[in-house]
Amino acid sequence: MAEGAALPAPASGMSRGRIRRAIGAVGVPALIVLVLVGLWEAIKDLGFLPITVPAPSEIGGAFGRSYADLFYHMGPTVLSALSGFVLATLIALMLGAIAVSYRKSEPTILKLGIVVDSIPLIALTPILMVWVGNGLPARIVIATIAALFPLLVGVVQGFKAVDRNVSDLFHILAASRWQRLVKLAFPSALPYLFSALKIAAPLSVLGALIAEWVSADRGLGIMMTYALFSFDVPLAWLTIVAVCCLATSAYGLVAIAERIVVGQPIDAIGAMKGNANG
Amino acid sequence: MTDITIDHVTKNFAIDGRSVTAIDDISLKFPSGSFSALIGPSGCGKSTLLRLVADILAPSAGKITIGGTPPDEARRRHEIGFVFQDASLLPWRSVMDNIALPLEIAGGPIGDGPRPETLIRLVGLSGFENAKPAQLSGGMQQRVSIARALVLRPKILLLDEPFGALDEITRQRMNMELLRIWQETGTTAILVTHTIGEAVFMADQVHVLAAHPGRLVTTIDVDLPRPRALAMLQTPAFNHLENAVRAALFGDELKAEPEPAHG
Ligand SMILES: Nc1ncnc2c1ncn2[C@@H]1O[C@H](COP(=O)(O)OP(=O)(O)O)[C@@H](O)[C@H]1O
Ligand SMILES: [Mg+2]
Repeated sequence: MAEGAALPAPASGMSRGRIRRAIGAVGVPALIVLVLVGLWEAIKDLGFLPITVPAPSEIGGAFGRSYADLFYHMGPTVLSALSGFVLATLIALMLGAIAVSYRKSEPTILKLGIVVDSIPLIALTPILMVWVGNGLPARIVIATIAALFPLLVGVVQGFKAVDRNVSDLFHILAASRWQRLVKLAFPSALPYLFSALKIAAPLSVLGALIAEWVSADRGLGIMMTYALFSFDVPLAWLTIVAVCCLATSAYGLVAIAERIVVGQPIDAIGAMKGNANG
Repeated sequence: MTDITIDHVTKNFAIDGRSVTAIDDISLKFPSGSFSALIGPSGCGKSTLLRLVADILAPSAGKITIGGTPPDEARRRHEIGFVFQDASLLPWRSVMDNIALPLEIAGGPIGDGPRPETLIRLVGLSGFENAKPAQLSGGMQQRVSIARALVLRPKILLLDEPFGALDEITRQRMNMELLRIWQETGTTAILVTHTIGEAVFMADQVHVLAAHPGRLVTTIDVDLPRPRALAMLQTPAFNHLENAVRAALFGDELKAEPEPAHG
């Protein structure tokens, strides 16, 4: 048997190819966006769009005027969204662990998740604020609820995605519930968990936003309502664009974390090296 | 003494509300330190029997003992090693960490159990300690699986068609290694196979099973000397034993005259 044959060094052409691919991945979408924004601007100039839709240049102008305000209000939104996201993840992991460790509890836990998910947040928020006050905790709770259900489904599904033979192996080894959870269920669940995290991250941003609409003294939500009530159309659109950017970045950050944790598929060279031996 | 006795064991499964008998009143004895083979058509309950011994399933009737104690006690003492048909490795762990998994779960070696490094050498995987399962061929993955099954120095080793997915040449080589490892460790081994030659080559005793319901047809003692060598495959004694197993498997079908060709 060939002992750990050294991997051939990657050809220098590969890195050049990778740069070209990176340009393709970033450059092409950027170009498309640029063209669309240009079209939008032109159509607005020709007078085809209503007064409630500003030209991109007007939104840019609003950014120039109000970027200090924008960042002042963005901070609390990020804080509520991030806290809600982390809290929702922890709760989902805990409930998911209970659901798979005690099989009979699974339907109840999932049904509870559905009920919580179907509460209209816009109606719940004022009620919640009567109970816990209209400070940060209430906004975090709303962001948590907004993100919880997809996470719960992902965690339960992931925990159940354990190979049957490996599960039997853990039984033969007389593994404890905790060992089974940490050494088997959790690592098996990671790909599912990350899919759910990618869905939940933008949802927690939207949850924070909804809470801020109802009541807050700082936050993109309150900035948005303020702009709407003062008929500052470009500013209202600026906040919308800012929220979109936040939600997209949240998704992107989770995607990057996924790459780091779960990693890339095994490369062809490694697989070939394995097959060459008996 | 770690002999395994199966005493009038029956196993029923409920499928769609009906009760299906997978194993019907089987009694068997696997002497301590012996190598036994279970052979039979697909669905005759070979895997079920191994899973009963490993305490993954409980018998519907009858009793199983491992070294005089119930299987669940043997299991809790980490006396059972199991090798599945597919290697069933943890894909996120390296070769070394897969082999060390039972040590982590048991909280350390059992007695003077082998070190993972030693086992990696024993199964011929030196240099691949840090490889991930996806980087290994099927044969190499199965070696990892065997090393993992041996790391707690089990008193009994259960193998469910471990090389069924491998090509003939690799399988023969793996079988030779398995016999060498078995002789070094002195465990009581039960090998499930559907290859007649493999059963005879490996085992001291070949138990032939039939399906629907799963039952024992007969046991054939293999009196070939050990260590077994590939040259034995061509001896008349070996062929004679193969024929005996074949006769037990096919019964009257073997005696039937071939259909005359129509011209
Ligand atoms: N978990 C199970 N539930 C229901 N039926 C099963 C289960 N495991 C095995 N069986 C049935 O038991 C019989 C024997 O199966 P098995 O032991 O896998 O056979 P073999 O390994 O010899 O091919 C088959 O008819 C199979 O359908
Ligand atoms: Mg089987």
